[in-house]
Amino acid sequence: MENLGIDPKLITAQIVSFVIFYLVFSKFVSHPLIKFLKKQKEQDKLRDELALELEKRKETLDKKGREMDQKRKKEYEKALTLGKEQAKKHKVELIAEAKKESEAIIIQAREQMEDEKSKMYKKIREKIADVSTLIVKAGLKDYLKPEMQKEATKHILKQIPKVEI
Amino acid sequence: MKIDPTIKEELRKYLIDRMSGKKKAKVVISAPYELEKSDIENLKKKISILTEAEIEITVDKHILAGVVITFGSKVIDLTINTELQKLAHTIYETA
Repeated sequence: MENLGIDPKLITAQIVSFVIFYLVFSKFVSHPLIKFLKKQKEQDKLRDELALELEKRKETLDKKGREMDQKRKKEYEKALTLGKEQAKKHKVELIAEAKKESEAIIIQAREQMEDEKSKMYKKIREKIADVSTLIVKAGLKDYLKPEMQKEATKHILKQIPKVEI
Repeated sequence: MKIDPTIKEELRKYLIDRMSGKKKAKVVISAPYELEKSDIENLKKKISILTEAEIEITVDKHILAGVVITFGSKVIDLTINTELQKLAHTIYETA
């Protein structure tokens, strides 16, 4: 071996040194590293599971949101239809009421007009009567001479019936 | 309400005179001209109160024809003016 250039002591020392290195390496480096990697792997798995769960929840929420949107849309349409129907009904009622009121106003106005007309006729009649009597009075005043006045008075006195007072 | 003693006394005297017949009732006859005696006599024949009353004749130029006899609160209107008023009233009512 010496002829081959191999030193047995050195080889022994190297083997011992390697064994010691292996033992130290496996005890203090390899094992914790594997443990760390395992843990990391588990955490990754857990993270994936959580992400999946989150995805599922998100999908559920989206579905619910869509359902809610549809429901809201339906409710909105329903309310809109109802509102339109009510507005139509209200419009019809308002038109009927307005028609009724306008008819009442027309009747009242007609009555008022008739009343005004009859009042006016009455006033005209009164005026005619007043003017007529005034004309007659004025005419008589001009026409009746003292003699005629006497004659008329005498005639009136003759016509008086006998009165007991 | 208190009545003035002088008015009260006057009223008492007037009523006593009226009751005893001393004081005659006053009648005012208004006409468009001074009435003649014959007219007054004619009136006295028709209206009995005139025979016992004190008659006062007045001239009212507003009267067209006829007479107005006033005694106390009573008025007998026999004028054409009143007839015209009645005519106006009839026109109001019937026209």
